[in-house]
Amino acid sequence: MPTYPLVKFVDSPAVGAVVRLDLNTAPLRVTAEFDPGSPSLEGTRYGPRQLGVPLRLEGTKAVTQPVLSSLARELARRENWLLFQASAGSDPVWFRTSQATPGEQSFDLVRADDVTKDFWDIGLTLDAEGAAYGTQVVLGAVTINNNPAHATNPQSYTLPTILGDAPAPLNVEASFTGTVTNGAGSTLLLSRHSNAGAALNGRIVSGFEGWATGMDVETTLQTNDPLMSGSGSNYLRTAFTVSESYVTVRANKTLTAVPFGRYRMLARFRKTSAAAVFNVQLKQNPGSVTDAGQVQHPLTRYAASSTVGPHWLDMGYASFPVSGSPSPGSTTAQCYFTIHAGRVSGTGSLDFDCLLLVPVVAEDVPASDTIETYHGYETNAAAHVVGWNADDEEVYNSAVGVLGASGPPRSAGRFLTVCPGWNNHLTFMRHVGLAPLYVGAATPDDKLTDTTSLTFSYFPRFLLLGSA
Amino acid sequence: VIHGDLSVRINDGRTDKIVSKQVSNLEFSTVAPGGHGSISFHLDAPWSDWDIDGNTKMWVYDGRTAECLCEGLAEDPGREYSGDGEGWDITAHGGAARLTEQSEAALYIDRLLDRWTSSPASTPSANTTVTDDPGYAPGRDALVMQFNPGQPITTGDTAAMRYETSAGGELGGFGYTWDAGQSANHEAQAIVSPSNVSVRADAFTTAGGTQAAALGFTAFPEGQTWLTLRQKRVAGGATTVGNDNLWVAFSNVYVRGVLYDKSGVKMLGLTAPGTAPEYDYELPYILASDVVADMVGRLLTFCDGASARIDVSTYHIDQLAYPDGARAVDRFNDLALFEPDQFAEVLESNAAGLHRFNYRAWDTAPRTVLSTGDGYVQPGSETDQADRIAVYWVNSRGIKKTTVVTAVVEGLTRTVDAEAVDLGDRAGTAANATRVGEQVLAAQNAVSKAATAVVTRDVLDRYTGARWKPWEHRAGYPSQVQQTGDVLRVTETRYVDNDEAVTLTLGSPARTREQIVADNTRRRR
Repeated sequence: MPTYPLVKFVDSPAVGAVVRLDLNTAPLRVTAEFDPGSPSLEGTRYGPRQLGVPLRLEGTKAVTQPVLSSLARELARRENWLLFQASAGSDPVWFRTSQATPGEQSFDLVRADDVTKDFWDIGLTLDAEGAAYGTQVVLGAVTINNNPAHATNPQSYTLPTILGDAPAPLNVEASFTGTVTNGAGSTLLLSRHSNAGAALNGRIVSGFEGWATGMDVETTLQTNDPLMSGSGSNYLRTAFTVSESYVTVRANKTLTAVPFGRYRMLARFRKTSAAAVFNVQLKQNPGSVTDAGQVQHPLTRYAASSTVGPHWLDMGYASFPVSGSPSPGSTTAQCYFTIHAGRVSGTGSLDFDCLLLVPVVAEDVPASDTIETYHGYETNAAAHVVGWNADDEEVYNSAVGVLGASGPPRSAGRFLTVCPGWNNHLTFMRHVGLAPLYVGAATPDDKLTDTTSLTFSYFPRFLLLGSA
Repeated sequence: VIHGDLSVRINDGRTDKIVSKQVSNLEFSTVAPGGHGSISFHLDAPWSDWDIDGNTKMWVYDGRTAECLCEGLAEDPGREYSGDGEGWDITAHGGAARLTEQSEAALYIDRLLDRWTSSPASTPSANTTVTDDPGYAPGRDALVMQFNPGQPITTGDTAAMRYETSAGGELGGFGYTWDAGQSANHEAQAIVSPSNVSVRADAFTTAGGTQAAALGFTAFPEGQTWLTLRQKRVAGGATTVGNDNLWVAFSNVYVRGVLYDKSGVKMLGLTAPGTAPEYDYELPYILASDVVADMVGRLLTFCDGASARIDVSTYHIDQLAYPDGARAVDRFNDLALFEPDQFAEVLESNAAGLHRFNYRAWDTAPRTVLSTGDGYVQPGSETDQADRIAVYWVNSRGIKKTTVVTAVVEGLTRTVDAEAVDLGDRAGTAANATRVGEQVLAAQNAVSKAATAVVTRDVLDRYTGARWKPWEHRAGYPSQVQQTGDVLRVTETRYVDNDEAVTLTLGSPARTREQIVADNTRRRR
């Protein structure tokens, strides 16, 4: 029958891990003054905590001397795991501790002879990460469909209820299906919101086929193309009569009931000549459809590429409401969008597939996380694995050794964190470049039929030592 | 520990990774002009983990969106051992610092006659000087080439001066006004070399004329590096010069260098066949935007020329040449004298490692509205109003000149002279003296509105409707102070993560007269 609370040094934060030293089983005992501490607050982040673990060691010197040595060895480790379980009815948590020295020691009850039972009181203070770890949660594999209009996991996935009571780093591993491509990159964007019932979890997908083209005679609706998303007539085409460096309005759309916040805008385009260079730009106006939008988003260059696409382009960030001052009581905005395009050089047409708005900074919710990774050559798509280890801030790649000129993975942004109490929604985009607003010759085509298998894992985090 | 929603990435050429958990004391800045300013932080990592030197790149991202807020190249870092282990104190300089890296010679447009030298092809007894045009009574500087009375000359003899471009420079075009002392047997000629193509030749008349020519398929070929202006005896055979009128004077002379476009393609003259970019090198002036495009195409090759935004400027610059070489930052400072409402910025790099570059006009609409409650400090300044100033300068022949500049100053009903400015012995022009006088008077009469503010709250970005966190502020946009109504340019932002606060520098302190004079007397003129 174990003695509660369980307090043990173990080799990993897992049930069944190897016990390095049990601190609450004879001859050692954690006294009633045990103090789990609480994390410090550094700005808006939780910092480390200090655990007070007063110990009493009882026994003859033959018994206690090896235990003292064992304790010293555990304290000397650069990093260690301290399991704590309050009772049989609660779940264990683990503290990630760092190297420590023994605190105050009392020799009052240590006798001079070798046979008498001694009492060693050892004050022990352990520095640990602010939040305790729960048992690792593994999710997946989940299939992400690289089609923004797919009925299931369209470039996105809503994670199930997150355990714990504090934000936890989320590790992700991806294995890819699809064609062999060079210059492969992925963008992971974890956004959060409180509206569990929202369609598409806060994302807005607007097929350009639903945009009005009356203001431009060069832009027309096209019949179905399976390479483009959506059904029926599913894209627009602008046939340029001349090449010009400036952009003119091609189509417009009213987006209604957009929840307040900041959205990342990505748009899917294709061209009929790979060498052609286009400028594209979105403009936004809260009042009416107008050519001169109040908000002029960055001019994005659709550079010369090795293939005609389709490709995703980064179109900047849109905020709602545009004025920054919402009407009292409202939580959504209406906004008029126009898309502008010009052909800088080359020949041929530009095809508009869809506009995707992904919330990145919503109202009154924890901030989102975005990491963009250029992970190199997919030599064998089925065997190509890329992992994002948020606990250690590492990106790994199974293709090491066959990377060629692409080098090791490199990333921008920050690793993902899941937050309990919120809807945690992941957007997973393939072939969106590491650097914003850039499509280069090596950017692969984006195929709607590609899929990515994602596996997630995280250790729930606890500020208070409740149950998972 | 990083307090804001930020992350830091390092690439030392061997390792490229995000290191946010090891970073503390993060600070970064943006500047206008310049773009990304600097980054500094403490990195808690063993010395063996990194090989940090001047080629090590680092980035600060907004972790919410992966937007790059600042990118820089490391300086030689400090290494520190504390009780917690080994660490690095790292400072990196952003794109603004890269403008100071390279110094190259450049010829944009040069009117300075003291750079002309006597050509070795001249007949030995011929005279070649920079002096007043003998045929123009009001007087104007000219290259004067003369066969002197009593000297024997014959057909083919020349009196010539030449202008050589500096290393790597190529002639784009030129123009001049000429007149002569008589009207027979001689021509005023322009030759480009090394091809020795005679581009312009006019039979002598006392009235003279105006000529211009440019690189192109109807004028002269590519690759020319010096221009010769001369008088040549083309008929009449041997004779002895009898009168003091066998001279030709070339005035209003300007020489243009070849320009490249922002993508690094040499621009050919008008009427160039095919798709080559064209430029009219006969123009007697150059625009700042043309200079900037040329710099992006040739000097700032670490920038992405194809996507560079270069707003077209309007001021006709009549003198801009750097025969001794100049860094990009100095050239931009010079251009700011002509186009004070435009500035350059070097921002983050793309996947190909090339930086985003802008040479853009300052917006006039405020992007943010600040309150005096945002730690707003506006220091006072001494102003001595004046509406007239004398500027002393020396022309290309060494003659001291005075230009008097006046200004209308609101509230000043009498003439008050500012202390005169002496531009020294560097060759100047009347236009330059006027410009300096105007700037000194403007600076002296302006009430300084430079200020600083410390922002810790969320601020509305009025351009997009986004609410900016302190680390999202960037230099290069105007900001309005709510209580005073002043719209001031944000010329620097410095975010200090430990305070989760950004210090904005608003406006620029008025330049002192010494700064104005120094800016206006560098050797470009």
